[in-house]
Amino acid sequence: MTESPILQVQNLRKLFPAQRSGLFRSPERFVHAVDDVSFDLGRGEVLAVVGESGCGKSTLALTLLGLETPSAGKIIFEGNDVTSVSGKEQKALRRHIQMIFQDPYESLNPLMVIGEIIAEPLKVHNLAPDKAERAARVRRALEDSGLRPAENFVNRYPHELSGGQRQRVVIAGALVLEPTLLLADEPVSMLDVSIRAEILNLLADLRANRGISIVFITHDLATAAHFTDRVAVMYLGRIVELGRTRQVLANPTHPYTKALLSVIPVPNPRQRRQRIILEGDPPNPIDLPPGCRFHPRCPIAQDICRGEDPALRLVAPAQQAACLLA
Amino acid sequence: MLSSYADTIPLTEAPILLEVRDVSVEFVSKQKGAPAARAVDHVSFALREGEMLGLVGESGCGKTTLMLSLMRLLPAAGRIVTGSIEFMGQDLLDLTESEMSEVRWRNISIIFQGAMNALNPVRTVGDQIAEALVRHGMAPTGKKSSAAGRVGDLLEMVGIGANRANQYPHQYSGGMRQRAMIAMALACNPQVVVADEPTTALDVMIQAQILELLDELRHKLGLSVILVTHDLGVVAEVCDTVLVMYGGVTAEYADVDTIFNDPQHPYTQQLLNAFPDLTRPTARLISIPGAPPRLDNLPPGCRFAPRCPQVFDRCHSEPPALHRLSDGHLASCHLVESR
Repeated sequence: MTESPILQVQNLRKLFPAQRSGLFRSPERFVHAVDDVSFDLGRGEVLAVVGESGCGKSTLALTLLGLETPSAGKIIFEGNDVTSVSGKEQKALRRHIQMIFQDPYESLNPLMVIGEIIAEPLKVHNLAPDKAERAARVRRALEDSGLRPAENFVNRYPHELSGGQRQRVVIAGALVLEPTLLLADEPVSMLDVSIRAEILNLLADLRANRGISIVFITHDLATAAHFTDRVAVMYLGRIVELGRTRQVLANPTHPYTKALLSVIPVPNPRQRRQRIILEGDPPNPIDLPPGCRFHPRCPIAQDICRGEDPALRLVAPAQQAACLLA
Repeated sequence: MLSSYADTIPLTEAPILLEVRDVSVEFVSKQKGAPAARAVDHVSFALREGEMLGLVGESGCGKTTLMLSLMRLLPAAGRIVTGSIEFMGQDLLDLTESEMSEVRWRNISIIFQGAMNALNPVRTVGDQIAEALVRHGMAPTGKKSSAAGRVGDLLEMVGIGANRANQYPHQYSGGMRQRAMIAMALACNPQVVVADEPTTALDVMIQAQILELLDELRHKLGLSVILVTHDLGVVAEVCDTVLVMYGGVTAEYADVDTIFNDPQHPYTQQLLNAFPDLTRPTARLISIPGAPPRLDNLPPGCRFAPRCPQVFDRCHSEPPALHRLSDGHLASCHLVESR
């Protein structure tokens, strides 16, 4: 990569204090939500962050957005350390990093018309105080989100729109600030199958046309497969495998990635495969297992896995995995 | 119109357990003078012993309404206006309410959507299963205490240690709560289990665990299962036959191989194209423009016409009949008729 990355995450850690139990003060314990995560995101790159609930993928996004303060580590955005900025600086930063949340039914104010919803971020950031200019930016954001012609939408209320259209409004609300980085947290999981593809295609277009970088958070590797450049697989707060999406899907090296891939339903009954179904649930992120944190559920775990905590290391060109046996 | 589906699904020789014929369901509108909305329109299917049927469609296509009709659990505004639902030769629509309440749980049970949040948080899981057993006369002495052995067996059957019967729902993970709901549905040894989106809110790994459990139970207990889902991948993995619904009607009905490898209805074809397939990671997914129709505003002709890529004049004026393509393959599309 000749250009500098838009985002560099270095040894990022986010711990939440856990509730103490018992009458006497037990030693302080922590939920290890994000634990030593590092990656770079290139300009115009789409990175998938994949993992099960509780793996820390949403906490990672909230930390990148500045809604959670990291416990340790660094976040470098556009070459500037933004790890612990606050107040004005943070507000300015937010213009460039925008988030799309999961539920388009709950993230739009039902009492405002679409035009007002999209204009709101401009007012918050004191941008485009001129009414005509504001209207023009709102229109452009709507049309770039596929709501054309914009005039048909600005005066409507969220309840008049379908789920897919609402998610487009949410995306327009993020786009109106012309961000360079979008964090999309499960943006299609609440939508019907026939609508999902168009929202994914819209995100792909935004990257192609505006050069926006995207962190795409999902539990669904199949969705990630279709338009992301690289994938980071997370387990219990750690990245366990990181590499080019196609390469990781074709040649997964971490046993967790292998298992995740094997259970994704393939829409062809002639290809019913041998699935690697992991028993039980991921352990709780307070009392982490010693050694490799995946070993209690790992189908190939050996003695050394109980003693040594593997770091990410290169296992193939541009592909890293945190497994002693890979 | 077909009289019977007995000869249309040539998959197995197993006898037909449940036969739904021409069922239509209407909902009365709260507004005076507004016409009733038809949520399900002349839908038929048959379920054989030990078979797993996938009922597929997007939100609002009528799949949950159809399943509630089967149980005769429709909300007050809904009523079944045509058709019959025969279970082992008996039309369930002819039964009195008290007779029907015997059929529920003992013959046909349902795992509701989002059921893992349906457990009572202030009572133990075992206590709740025991109550179901007592209420349906499955406890030897009619007291909860006499059902403890059966509660333990049921929990073990779904992969939960019997020693966890005394725990509360919050001590269970999401996957375990769904397992407990399955145990409860199996409490009275039903022949048919309806599972309405049993894996929707679960992670992929837990989803795989639950699907494997359902599949295993069906083989072990000889259960027939109706799996209601919007996830085609899940259907391809575990189902024998598939009914695809769109806007309250049958779009296509066939065995699982035909649906995935020789789909004839444009909706089925488009739905398959929109589904991300890991084995074919093309750069772009094909989306179906538009949205499913609202029941109070159905198009006059084919309900899929406004979104159909192969639409022609007739589709806008005349609803297509359900055509029989071959034994066990039905599709409602004008294009199919000419073949």
